[in-house]
Amino acid sequence: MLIFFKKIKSWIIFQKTLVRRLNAHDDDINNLRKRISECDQKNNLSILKSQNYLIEKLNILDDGISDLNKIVSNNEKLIQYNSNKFQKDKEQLINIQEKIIYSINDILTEVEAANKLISRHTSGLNTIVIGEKNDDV
Amino acid sequence: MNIDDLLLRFQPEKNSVQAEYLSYENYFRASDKAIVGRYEELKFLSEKLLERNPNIKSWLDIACGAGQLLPVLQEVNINAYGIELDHGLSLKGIEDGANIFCGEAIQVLELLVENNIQFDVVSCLHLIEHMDWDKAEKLISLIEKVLKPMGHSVIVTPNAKDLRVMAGSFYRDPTHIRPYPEELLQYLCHKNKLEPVYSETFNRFFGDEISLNKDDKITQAKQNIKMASDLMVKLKKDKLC
Repeated sequence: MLIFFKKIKSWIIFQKTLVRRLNAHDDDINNLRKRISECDQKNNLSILKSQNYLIEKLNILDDGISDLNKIVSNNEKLIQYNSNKFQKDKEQLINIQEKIIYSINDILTEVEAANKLISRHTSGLNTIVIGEKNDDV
Repeated sequence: MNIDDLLLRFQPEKNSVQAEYLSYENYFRASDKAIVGRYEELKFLSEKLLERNPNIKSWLDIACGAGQLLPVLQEVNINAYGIELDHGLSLKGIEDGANIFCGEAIQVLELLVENNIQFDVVSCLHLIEHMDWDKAEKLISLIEKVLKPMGHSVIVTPNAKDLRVMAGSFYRDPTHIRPYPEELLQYLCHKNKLEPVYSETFNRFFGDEISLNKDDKITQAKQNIKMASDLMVKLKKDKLC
């Protein structure tokens, strides 16, 4: 009985840790979406969207996190699941997700640096100067 | 001599072989989207000037091409005239009903000054970069002379501070001689009693963005990233950032 309660306690602690990490991922994802949107608006980089590269990666994250949420919110299924296998699989999944976030972050950092440099040197294709005839000048 | 007599002196030759710029225009700027975009831009320009001076009655557009600006001005009851060197473009404009002096801008302007003919607005869109400094100075001084008191000059030229221009489109036109940066234009106007009242850089007026389709924009974005990346490598190499 004691062993069973210890197991339950361990699962609950693990579940809380997992939820905290998932919430942190939610913030990361929101932040990434915001940065992608800013990149697109700032410098006409519709290439990001057209290739669906980053969006596709974000969707993978979303799906994975949604699955995780379903599992951790269902204690019954959790208890039925082999605890060691569960812990190993989820850890692995979270690690993969973190890697994806890091890679998107790297890509965005590069794009943002490129945008900054481009905007400094692309003030507009044309110059207009309107003068007013003034004999007092 | 009045302005209509002068117009008759500058008529294009019908079988001229000097229509090279028409061919350039057709190649780079003749898509339907570009033409509609150009019309909207010119309308915007005329409205901007009319806001500043609602009493504009006459307008001279130097290097008017096929006279695209002139009907836009006539729509708001402004007497519009153009000057164009290229016989092919002049013919096209005249056939569409525009009043165009077909001749060299400096020569036509000198005759207008001699005959004391003046305008409320003189515009010069994308011409000055086809001139060396001495000729540009002469052009601006003549523009001042053909303007009525408190009249406005409008000079538009490629932005010399933009990488896309100076690393690409400026030298795409084989007749461009030198760029004129914004500050130099302001000085040139000021020197010739045309006090700059408005000045900015922008992405309109027959620019690449108007004639490019969506796929081209993606290509352009790719090129931008590549260009920025190359530039960063160079700056790092030179230890500038």
